[in-house]
Amino acid sequence: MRKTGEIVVGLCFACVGLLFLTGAVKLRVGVPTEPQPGFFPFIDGVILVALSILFLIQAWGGRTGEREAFGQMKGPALVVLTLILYVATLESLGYVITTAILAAVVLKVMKTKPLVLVLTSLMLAVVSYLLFDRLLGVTLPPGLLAAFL
Amino acid sequence: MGFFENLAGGFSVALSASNIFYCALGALLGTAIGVLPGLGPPATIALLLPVTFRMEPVSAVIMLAGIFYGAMYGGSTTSILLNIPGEAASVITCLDGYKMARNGRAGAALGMSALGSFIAGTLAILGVSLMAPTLASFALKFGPPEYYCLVFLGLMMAVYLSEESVLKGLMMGILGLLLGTIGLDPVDGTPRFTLGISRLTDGIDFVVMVMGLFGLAEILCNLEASESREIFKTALTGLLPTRDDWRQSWTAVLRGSFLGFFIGVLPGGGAIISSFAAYALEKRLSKHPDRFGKGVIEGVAAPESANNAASTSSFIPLLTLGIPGNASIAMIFVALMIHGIRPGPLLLQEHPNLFWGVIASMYIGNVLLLGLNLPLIGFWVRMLKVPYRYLAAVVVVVCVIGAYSVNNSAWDVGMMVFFGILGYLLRKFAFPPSPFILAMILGPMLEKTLQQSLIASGGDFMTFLNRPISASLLLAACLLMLTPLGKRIWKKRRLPQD
Repeated sequence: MRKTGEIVVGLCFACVGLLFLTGAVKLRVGVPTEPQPGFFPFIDGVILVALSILFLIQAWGGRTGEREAFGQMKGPALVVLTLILYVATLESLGYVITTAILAAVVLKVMKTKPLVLVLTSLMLAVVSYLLFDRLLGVTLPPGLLAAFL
Repeated sequence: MGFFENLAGGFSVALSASNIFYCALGALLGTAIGVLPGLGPPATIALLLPVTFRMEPVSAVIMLAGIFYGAMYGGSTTSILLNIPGEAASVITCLDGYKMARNGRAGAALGMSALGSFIAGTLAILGVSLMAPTLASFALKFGPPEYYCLVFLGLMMAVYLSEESVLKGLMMGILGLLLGTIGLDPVDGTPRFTLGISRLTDGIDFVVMVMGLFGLAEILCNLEASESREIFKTALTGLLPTRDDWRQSWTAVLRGSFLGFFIGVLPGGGAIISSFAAYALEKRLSKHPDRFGKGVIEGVAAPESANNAASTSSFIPLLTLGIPGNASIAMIFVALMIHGIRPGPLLLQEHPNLFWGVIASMYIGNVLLLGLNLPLIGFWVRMLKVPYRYLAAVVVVVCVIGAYSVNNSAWDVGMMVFFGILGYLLRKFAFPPSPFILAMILGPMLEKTLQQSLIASGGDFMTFLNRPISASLLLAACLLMLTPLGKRIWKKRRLPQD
């Protein structure tokens, strides 16, 4: 499991390197006397691919050093999913509704009692809206509650 | 103008009512986030950057700098009372600080760390005010090849000094350089790697990225396990160290200050490494090394002095060379750029008020912190009793608002979430984030100076070796890369055996 994770990471780095490398070639690399926009990313891409290969060799031999073990992944995964939905709905549903849901999910993951959870997340969303939108002049999207806010 | 006139000019800027207010606000905020685990100085500075858009540039930098060095004061509080470092530079303080608290000497440990921090901070500011102008005038002679080699050396140091393996640091550095090329070409303005998305034409927003990498990622890591924290219950009496404590630790404070100062000047050095190094040094010089880790006051005094001195001296490369040495300083670099001020050797000539005003504000900030900290320790301890879940929810909400406020768009929130996930995964695989951020910020400068050098020399790479300054900088970078073995030995010695 440990080794697989490292190999996937190494492959991801190599892929990023290759993507930039091909992009750089399309931008034209040029020669040292007349460097073109692709010159610098091309060099970096080559180095990144080379380093990734080195990393993969080390990972294969199990010599990539310490890393933190993955703990309970459910919590972070749930929050990440909520955040993605949050970004998608922020402008249509509005700040207060989406933020209350986001805060509720974070509190749920941290094992908060239901009543405290509902009250805290509602309060956090409304208070932060009033503080930032009304007092500090950050324009937050009102969304569905536009008529009330 | 002489040194004292310059400094007097700086004080006249820093002592205006509004600047004292921003200095105090920054120092106080810094202490708070230093105390609370979960939001470090880089993420906090990033979150507050949008707020500073409408401020005077001097006031903005004064406040952001206060956050940075204030955090060094606050970080030790949780290390000593809870055995949980408020931020990374105070990890080593846990060893002896927490033991002291358990031995009923929490007050002395807290007092010594505040006073040591104050002495170190003051000495370091003196060092900055003396050294920075000389270095800036020296750097004025630099051409593109020298600058290229300097930035290159800086990045190599950031890689070398990052806690993890050199290979991982290099990979992160190059990844940062590549992501830094997204947007318009710095030389001829061709859009690169924008995938046809107009939002990417201006490149990736640093503020949003740092909020994700340092703010959200930290919360995601902490969501894995709901930790329970127990505050060490002790009567906080006798905050002032005794005469015996002073006799034991005054040399440690001075040594920590000097060591911290010089490590802080190095790019990638900064507060974390200096605190480890100072602790190791004290242990080696001590007549009773076996008592380290069991609650000796030098074990608190040395690292706490060192991390303060380092956080102050890390302003030197920023203000004189235009090279940020760590993620927090990189955020201050971004703040200056947003205000249209280019940090570098010309800063001192073009904006002497800003340069000396910020330095003078650090003197003031240190006095304020000492005055604020000792009486407020009880308040910080009470703040720590707020359960972490509320803090986590607040940090997530603040990160979201912060990202949104940069351009008033959900796109930036999305980018913040992306970098939060990336930061979380990279942390899990122990890839260091600092080389990534520094490379991304310094990438355009590196690219520009490389192209300029090559064009000027007719495509001859030897130009870097034919000039004495650039050749020695390059040589230093190569030596650094060729000594991972040395690093391994250094690491073994540096890590104190518990």
